[in-house]
Amino acid sequence: MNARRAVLALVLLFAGAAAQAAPLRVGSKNFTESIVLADIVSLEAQRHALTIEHRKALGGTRILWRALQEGSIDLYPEYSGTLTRELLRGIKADADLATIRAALQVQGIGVSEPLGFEDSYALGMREDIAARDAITTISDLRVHAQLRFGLSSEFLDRDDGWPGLQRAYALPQSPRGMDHDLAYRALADDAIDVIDLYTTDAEIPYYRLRVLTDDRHYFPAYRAVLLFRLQALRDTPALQSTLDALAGRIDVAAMRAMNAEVKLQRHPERAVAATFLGVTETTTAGDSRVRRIAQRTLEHLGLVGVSLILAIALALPLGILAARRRRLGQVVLATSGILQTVPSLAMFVFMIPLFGIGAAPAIAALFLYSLLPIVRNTHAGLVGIAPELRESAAALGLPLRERLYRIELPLALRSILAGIKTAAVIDVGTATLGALIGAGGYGQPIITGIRLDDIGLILEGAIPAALLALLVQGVFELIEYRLTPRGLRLIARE
Amino acid sequence: MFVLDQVTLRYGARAAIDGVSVAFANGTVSAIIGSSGSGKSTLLRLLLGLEWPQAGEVRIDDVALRRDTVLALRRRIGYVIQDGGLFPHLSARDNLALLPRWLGWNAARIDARAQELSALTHFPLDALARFPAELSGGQRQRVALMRALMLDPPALLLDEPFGALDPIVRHELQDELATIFAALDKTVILVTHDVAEAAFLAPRLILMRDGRIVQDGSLEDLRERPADAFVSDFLDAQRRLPERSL
Repeated sequence: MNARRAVLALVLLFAGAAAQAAPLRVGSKNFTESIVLADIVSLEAQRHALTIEHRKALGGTRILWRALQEGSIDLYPEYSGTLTRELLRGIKADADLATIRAALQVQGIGVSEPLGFEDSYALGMREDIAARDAITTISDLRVHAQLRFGLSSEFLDRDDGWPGLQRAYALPQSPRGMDHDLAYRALADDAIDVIDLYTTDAEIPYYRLRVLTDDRHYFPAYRAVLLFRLQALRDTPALQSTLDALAGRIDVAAMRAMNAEVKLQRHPERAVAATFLGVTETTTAGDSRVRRIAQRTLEHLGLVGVSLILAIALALPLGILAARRRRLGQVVLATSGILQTVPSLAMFVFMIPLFGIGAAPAIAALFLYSLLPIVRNTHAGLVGIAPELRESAAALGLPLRERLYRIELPLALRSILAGIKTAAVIDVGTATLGALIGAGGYGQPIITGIRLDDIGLILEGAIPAALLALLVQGVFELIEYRLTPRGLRLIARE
Repeated sequence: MFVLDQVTLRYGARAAIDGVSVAFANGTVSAIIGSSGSGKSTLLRLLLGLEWPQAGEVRIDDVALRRDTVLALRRRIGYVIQDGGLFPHLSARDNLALLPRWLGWNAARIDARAQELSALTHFPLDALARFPAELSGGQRQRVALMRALMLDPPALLLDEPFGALDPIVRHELQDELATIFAALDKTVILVTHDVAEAAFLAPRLILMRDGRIVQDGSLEDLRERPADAFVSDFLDAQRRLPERSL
C-alpha cells in the first residue's frame, strides 16, 4: 500500500502548494535563451526581495501564452515579432512598442521595455554548402529546389514562420519538421541543408553556419521583452523595479555568449545568469543524480497513479453501462475512442485553460487517455461472458446488482485488469510529455537533454521511464494472477 | 402449477412459440420432445421469465408472470441446462451457496443442505471444494442439479440435462434422476430430443414442431394413436441397435 500512500502524499502536496501565499511565478519556453532570461529575471527580482518560482522549460509559445492569460504564471520572456505576428490579431508586423502595449493591455497583460537585444528568426546553412551553391540570401534558395529543409515544428506552424515565408519568397521546397536542437546535429551530419535559427544561437559560429540575408524583409524585429500580468504588478509593485533594472541591459553579444556558455560549455543556466548579473548564486548543494531520479519518480508516479485511479473510477461504471445498454454503449465507446485520437501534446495544451499548468492539466490529459482502454475492456469482458452463464445467473433468481458483483464482474475481471494495465503503461509513456506543461516527471531530464544535446541527461529520464513501464506491466500481471479466481485459471490452463 | 394460455413468441417473422396452450399440474413429471428449433427450450424459458410472450399469458399457481415479481418466482423453480451452467470462477460449494447466502442462510444451514443433496445425487462430499473445471461432465451435472434443488423448490425444469454426457454416465444419471423424481414429488418438466429418455423418465410426452404442440399424451398414445404422420416419423427416427443375428 506504499504506492497508495505516495499518491496521497502527492495529492496533499499539490493542494498544499496551491494554498500557500503565491510567489511570483516566472515561466520560460523550452529553449536555452528563454530559460537564461527567466533566470536573470528571477535573480534580479530576488535582489529586490521578491520570492520567485521559476517554472522552467514549459514547451512552446502557445503553452506560455495561455498560461499567462489564464494566470498560472505571472511573467515570461517573449519577442516583439512573436507578439505582432503570432499572438496579437489585427496589428502590423512592425508595430511599435506603444501599439503592442495598448493591444496587450486589453487582455490584462503588460510588456516591459526591450531588454536590449534582438533575436530574429533566420534561415541558415552550412558555410561549405552555401558557398558551393553560391547562396547568400533567402531568395537564392528558390532556384535550388533540391535542398532539404529541416524546420522546427513551431516555426513550421506559426503564422510568422514557414507559411508566410514560403509565400513571401515563393519557395518550392517542402520542409520536414524537427526539434530545433536536433536540427543543428542533423545539419552537421549533412542529413538536411537548411534550418531555421535564432540569430542569437550559440551554434551559428560553432557549426560554421551562414545566416542567409532576409532580402525581402519578411521577418519582423524580434526584440526581447518581458510579458507580465498587470494584476501581478498591482499585487507586487516591487516587480516594477526589477523590470526597470533589466531594461536595455542585455545586448546581442552578451546574449549569444550566455547561450554558448550553456549549450557548448554546459554551464547551468542559473549560474550563467548569476555571472551576468554579477551576483553570487547561492548554489543549491548539487542534487545527486539518485535524489534527482527519486524526485522525478515520485512526480511521475503521482501523475500516473492519480490519473489512473480517477480513470478507473469513471471508466468502470461507463464500461458496465455500455455493456448493459447497447445504444448508449456505442456512444460511450465512440466518445472515448475519439479522445484517444487527440494528439497527446495537443491534449496537454487543451487542458491549460481549464487547469492551468503543472500536475493538474497533465493528470487531466492522462485521465482522458486512460478512459478508452478501461471502458473498452470492461465492455468487452462483460459482453464476452457466455450467454448460458448470464442466463443461469438470471434463472437462479439473483437480482441484477448481485449478478453483476458475484458473477459478471468476476468473469470479466481479467479483461478489465488487462485494460487497466494497458492504460497504466500508456500513461507511463505519455506522462513524459507532462514536463512540457510544468508537471515534472521523467520528461524533465528528457526535454532538457534534447535541448542541451546531452545524451546522459536524456537517458536519465528515458531509462527510468522504460523501467517503470516494465515494472507497471509486471505488477499488473501479478495483480491479475492474484485476483483471477482459481477456477478461471484452471480453464486457461486447459 | 404452470399454465401457458394462447402464448405466442416471435423472433422477427418466425414464431418460436405459436399460440400454445398447455398446463402442468403439481407433482407431475412431463417431457417436451421435438427436433431442435421446435420451440421446446423456449417454452421452458417462458416459464422462467427469461423470455416474454408477445401474446397470451404465462401463469404460475394461477398468477400471471410479471416482470416485477419474476425474480421471486424463479427462486421457486430449479433450472438445469446442458453442461450445467455452473459458474467457472466459483467452487462447486460456492455455486451451491450463491443463492442461499444471498437469502441470508448461515454456513451451517448451507452445509447441511449440501450434505443432504450430495447424498441424494451421489456426489462425493469432498469434491465440493473443486472448481467446475476439475469435475467430470457427470459430476458437473450433479452439482447443477444440487444447485437447482438447494432451496427445495416445488418445480424443476431440465433442458437437455444429459446432452453433453457420454452414454454410460448418461445412462447412470438417468437411473438416478428417475429415483430422485419419484422421491421428491416435484413438478418436473424435462426437455429432450431423445424419445427413449423422455419415456423412461416421464409418463407424459409433449411433442412439439415449429412452435406448436403436435401431440400431448403417453408414449402409448403417441405410438398407437399418432395425431399425424410426423408423430410416427419422429418416433421411428430414433435409431435402435440392429437385432443380433443368430
